[in-house]
Amino acid sequence: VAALITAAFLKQKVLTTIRESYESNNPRGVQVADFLDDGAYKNLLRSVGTLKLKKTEMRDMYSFFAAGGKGLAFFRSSEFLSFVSAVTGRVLSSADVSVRMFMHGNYTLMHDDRETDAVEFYFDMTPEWNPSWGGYTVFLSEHGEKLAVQPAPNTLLLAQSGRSYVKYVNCRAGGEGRLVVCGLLK
Amino acid sequence: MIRSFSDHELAALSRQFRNAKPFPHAVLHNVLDDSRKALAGLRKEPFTLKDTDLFTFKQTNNLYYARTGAVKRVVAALSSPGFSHLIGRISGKKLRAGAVDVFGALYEQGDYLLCHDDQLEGRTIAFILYLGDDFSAADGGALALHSSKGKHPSAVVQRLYPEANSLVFFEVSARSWHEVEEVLSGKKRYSIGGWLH
Repeated sequence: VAALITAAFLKQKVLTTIRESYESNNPRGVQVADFLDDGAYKNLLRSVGTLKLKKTEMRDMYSFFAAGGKGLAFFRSSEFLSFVSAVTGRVLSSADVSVRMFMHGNYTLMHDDRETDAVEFYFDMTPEWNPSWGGYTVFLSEHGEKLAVQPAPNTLLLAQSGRSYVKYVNCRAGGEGRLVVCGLLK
Repeated sequence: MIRSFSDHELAALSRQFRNAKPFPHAVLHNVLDDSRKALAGLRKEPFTLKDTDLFTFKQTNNLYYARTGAVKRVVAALSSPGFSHLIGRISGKKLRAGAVDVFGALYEQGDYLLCHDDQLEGRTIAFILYLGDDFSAADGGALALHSSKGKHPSAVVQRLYPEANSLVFFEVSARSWHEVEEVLSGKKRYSIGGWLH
């Protein structure tokens, strides 16, 4: 799993810009479009397509379909962890990663006991998404201001953990679903 | 304003409340003598969009500051010793007169309130007076009551669909997990809700 990240993002100058952007946001976070090179992204889509998603639900906390497995190995690799470390300035050694599908009726909620001292990421694989369907990621600043980030394909969202939720997917989504790799890095 | 209930009705409601699953609740029908006026008044109150991880719906300010006479009369009735006495008699709970924090709510297509337990210090009974359209399964908008597993909600055991001029009330506790399921149709789910202490 080497050199899957789009080459431009590995140049020191670009990395520094991404890092500055991450640090300047409240909560800390940054969105990187076209994160994987085309071939790697297509391979990932293929391998995720073979995973069996299972309903995962704790009604007062979350509801979605999820799967883990070898198909997500890139997000546990040293290449990915090194990139995230370079952006966040954190030493990272472990990754809890799963692919999730948010269909009509699915969501995540924020919790008081959430982990706020790690890095979380969302890597989206949904070709098209309509904001009126819900299902987007919302970040809350310390002052309660909200920032909604819409899913976009091959886009990585890195953020300080515990400050985000996925808005309930409403009936306007019909049979559409948001496919996203989510993870917590420590 | 709120109709009277016979001893026979009260005894039946009391049994309904005690035996209800997954936690004590009951439904009163044909509650207001003129619910249409109350709905017309509620429609004139200003609603604000409420949007968090837990919900999307529209809510009024505290209706103690209602603008319309019809809504003021409903709030006065829900805050009266008579109402507390009625719900106290059915539920077997000692309740203070005077509902606090009475709000109007409007759920339209796509609006919902996810699973929560309503617990805040002092709340004994939660109530919702439905004033809008009658709902069925195709419309969504049910008040869904969940069973509990440990400290968390489990399966939906009961779905109560809004019926105009009915009042649902339930005991607030660590296991009173409930939600307003998403409204799926174009119907308007208007209600006035609050808590008795």
